Amino acid sequence: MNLIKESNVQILEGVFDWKEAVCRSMAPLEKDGSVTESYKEAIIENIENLGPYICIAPHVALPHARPEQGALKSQIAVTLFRKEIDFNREDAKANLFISLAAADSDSHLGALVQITDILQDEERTAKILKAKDAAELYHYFK
Amino acid sequence: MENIKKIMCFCGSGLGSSFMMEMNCKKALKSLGIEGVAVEHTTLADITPGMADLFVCGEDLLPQAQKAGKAIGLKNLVSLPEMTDKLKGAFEI
Repeated sequence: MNLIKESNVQILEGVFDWKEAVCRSMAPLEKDGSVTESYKEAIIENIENLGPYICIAPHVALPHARPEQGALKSQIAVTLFRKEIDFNREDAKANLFISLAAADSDSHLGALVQITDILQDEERTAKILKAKDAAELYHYFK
Repeated sequence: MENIKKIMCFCGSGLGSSFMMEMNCKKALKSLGIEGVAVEHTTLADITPGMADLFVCGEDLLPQAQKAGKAIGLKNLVSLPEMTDKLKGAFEI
């Protein structure tokens, strides 16, 4: 997928609360200059105000905010947390974070079409959630 | 069958999950054989009553959607079966 770089795909083993998880999942995009440091703060604030809107499917979160909240380039990072992240709301739990930086309202849409297709394939999603290492994880999003 | 001509999918930011719902909604309408319905996506902040005949959003935002009109809330935003099922309910088919 053209918005996902292998260096932005990671597997994390530790135990994190949801705020830490949002920050960790955004770290690759901060590092490569796709988002500002305030972008993750905006996501956390949005979740505090609106609820865990980033939990889009069982086991899957799509952390994202508005372009004006700090997205500089359209780019996607993928983080698999081995320990489930709990958003302290019924049903709102996730292992796979697909972190989206959308610099405008359309340059990321092609990637979202592909991601939706991937997530609608239950077999593939099950494999993604069990990926052994970052290289295997990246392979599913190629 | 309910007369729904415009469906507005929305989420907190208006460019991630709302677009995924829009795609799914179009797929579901096609599979249900429903034609002539416009489907768009936007952000919660831009929702106004009467701008669409049906609002589609995540379950969390359903109370806000219902203030604007007829609405359905989704547990799994990428699930085609759930979307299809809830659209059936909304269209009363």
